[in-house]
Amino acid sequence: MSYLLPRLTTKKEVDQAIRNTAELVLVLRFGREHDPVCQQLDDILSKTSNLLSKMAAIYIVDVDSIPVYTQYFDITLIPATIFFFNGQHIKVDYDRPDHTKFIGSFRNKQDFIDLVEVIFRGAMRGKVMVRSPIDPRNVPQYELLYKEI
Amino acid sequence: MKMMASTKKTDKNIQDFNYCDVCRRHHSQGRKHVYSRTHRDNINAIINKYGKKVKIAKPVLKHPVVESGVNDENFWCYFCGCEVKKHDTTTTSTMKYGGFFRHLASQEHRQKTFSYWWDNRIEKSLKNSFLLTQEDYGKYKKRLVDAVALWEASQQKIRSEPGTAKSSSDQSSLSETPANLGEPLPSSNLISNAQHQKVQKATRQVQDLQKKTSVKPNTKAMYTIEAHGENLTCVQLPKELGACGNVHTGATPPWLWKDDDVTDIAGASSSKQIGPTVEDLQKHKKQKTLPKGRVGADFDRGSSSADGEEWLPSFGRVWQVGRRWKPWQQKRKGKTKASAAQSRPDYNSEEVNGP
Repeated sequence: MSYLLPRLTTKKEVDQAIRNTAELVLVLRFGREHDPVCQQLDDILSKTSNLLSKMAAIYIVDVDSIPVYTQYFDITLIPATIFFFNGQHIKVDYDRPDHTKFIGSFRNKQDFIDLVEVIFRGAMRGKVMVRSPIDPRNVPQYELLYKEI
Repeated sequence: MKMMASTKKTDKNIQDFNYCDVCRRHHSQGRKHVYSRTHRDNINAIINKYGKKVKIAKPVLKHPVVESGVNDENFWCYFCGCEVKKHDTTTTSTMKYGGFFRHLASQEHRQKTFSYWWDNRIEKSLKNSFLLTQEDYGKYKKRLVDAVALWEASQQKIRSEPGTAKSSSDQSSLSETPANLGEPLPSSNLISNAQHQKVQKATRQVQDLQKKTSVKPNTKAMYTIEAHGENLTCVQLPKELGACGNVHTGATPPWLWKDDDVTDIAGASSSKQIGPTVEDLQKHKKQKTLPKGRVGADFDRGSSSADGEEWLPSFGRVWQVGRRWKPWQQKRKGKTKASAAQSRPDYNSEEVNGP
């Protein structure tokens, strides 16, 4: 379903998207086209993009095409969904080790819609960190091991 | 009869009235008053209240406690009717209940207690708990000397550790901020409110100091070395890391990097465009009323410079202890101060020196 969503292929395009998306939640999906979980997520994103058109702009980014961003966001597991508002990266507390991105696919469309709405409302109130409304059981489990540089 | 009663009342002159300190009122009952219910209740209340204080302090008699920081708490001795210093203090340390024990052991307190017991007809067995013999006090003093020596040794150890030695120059400016205030004090329930606030303030100073000395953007970076998730594909990360930093560190995000020229692209695309320019469209477009406090309300889309710390997220501490709203408030405070003193270019030092 990824062909239904706009795709960003270069760093410049991603920069532009982050900078120029105004008063909307920018959703960047980092993943691979042929990854089964990514396809599930793309399905949910493409089906909700129209519903969320007043609240969110959704783009698809290939992890391998822009290593700068992959490295900056420390993406190790795909799909990873990252949210921005007016050029500001929004962190979300998912009850998981990583607050900077959502890793894995959403369970259903409603979960994603809820999350975007919470981010949008929070951002409008000046919040750069919000708590995820998604039931923690519906958030994929993963483990990360960090190392200090 | 009635007449007689009224004359009896008027007969009483001022000498017949006595003032009771315990009940805080004048009465004409003479010695009978000390047996009255109100007086007995008041005395019981005092004995209970004072007894509790003594009970809390008593364990310290056997095991003297020395703490960093100055605690000038007072306590009220009901028997002597005076306020006495609770702890013995030096410029940097507090000997807990030093003043309290000295007062209980003093001869004056002994006399006053005896007369208090006599005046108010209190049960004699209770008296001893409010007195301290010279012997016990002498023993306490001996133990205290050891405790102070121990405390000084521990302080020396802390000072000699490399982490704190580095910030010793900063600590001198804080005028004897105790090193272990970061931990909750064991007897915090005994400390008065004002004292507690003072301690909290000092704690904050210490925390700020630690932050200043140890945590700096780009110095303590983190990156994932291992990841595992159900059904999730793991991407191999490029090896050369650390030069640019990542989202977990204080690195400048890629969309704010200076190297790529944004205005150039916009100019090139505008030459192809037909119709009114974006500015013209914006003029005619009905402006939505949006909350001023929203995220990135004053984000400058044109400029690519990441000037100072402005782009930094106003929160953090995801991997650190503490409340999330705290760094946000700290940042806010720092910001207002920075804007007040705009002439000073170094925003960082301003923020740290602020609170």
